[in-house]
Amino acid sequence: MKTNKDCSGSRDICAGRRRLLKSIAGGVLLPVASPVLSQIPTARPALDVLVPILKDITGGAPVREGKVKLEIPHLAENGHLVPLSVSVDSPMTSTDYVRTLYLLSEKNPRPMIAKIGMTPGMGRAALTTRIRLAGAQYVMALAQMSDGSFWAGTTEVIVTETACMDAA
Amino acid sequence: MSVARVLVPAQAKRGELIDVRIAIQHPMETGFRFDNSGKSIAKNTINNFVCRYNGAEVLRAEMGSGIAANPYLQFYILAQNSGNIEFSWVDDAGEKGSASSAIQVTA
Repeated sequence: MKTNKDCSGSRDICAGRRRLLKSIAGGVLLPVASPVLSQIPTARPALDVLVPILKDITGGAPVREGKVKLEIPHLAENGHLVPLSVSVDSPMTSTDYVRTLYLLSEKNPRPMIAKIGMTPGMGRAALTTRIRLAGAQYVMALAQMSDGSFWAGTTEVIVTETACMDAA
Repeated sequence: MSVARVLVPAQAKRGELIDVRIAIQHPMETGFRFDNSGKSIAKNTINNFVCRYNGAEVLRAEMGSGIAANPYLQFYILAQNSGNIEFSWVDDAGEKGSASSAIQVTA
């Protein structure tokens, strides 16, 4: 064992170090609700809990998950500039297209990041932009199709340096 | 006058997707910041951005404080006829900006 090899010289020092290590380990592990443990990811809350203004947008209509693919780097170093790509699975024909795309944030002081009106003339329902994020959170893209149905996609982002410090 | 950089290919084939990119020079002021004298700086974002292809509206964006400064948008337009791709926008302060790019569409 490596530890034996390391402290082969003196048993006293070795025992002292073992005691010290035990006390440190105990100190870390004992409080169950430590901040470290609380950061372990849990199941994502429901969509309307995540973004309460969802009801105002949909007017109570059901929102299904799927069709919307939201791509944001999982770890964003700077909340002032986070690249975001969103694409919706839609043929974008004159009869079946994405009418409106909403970019929504869980924790920003203003949850509506952008509202984008789309048309069949785009050919493909895809958009790339750069957003601001106030802290680690979920970001949601909500698409309203030409038939009025709502589809959503979410992704979780860890932000190390938050944007809008004054508002936080 | 608001300045923008537009990247649109000069030529495209009919039915092809045109890759459109625009970056507008704008602070996208959040309204949550304060100046040196402690006064709050008013929110000023581009609340109305429209892209038209030969006069027909293709994309419209209402951007809030959640869009980063110097907003950048990349999207696609289905190539149909030769003409112009025009962009115009207005911010909360009422300042307008526009840009346009010509495109040659071949069969």
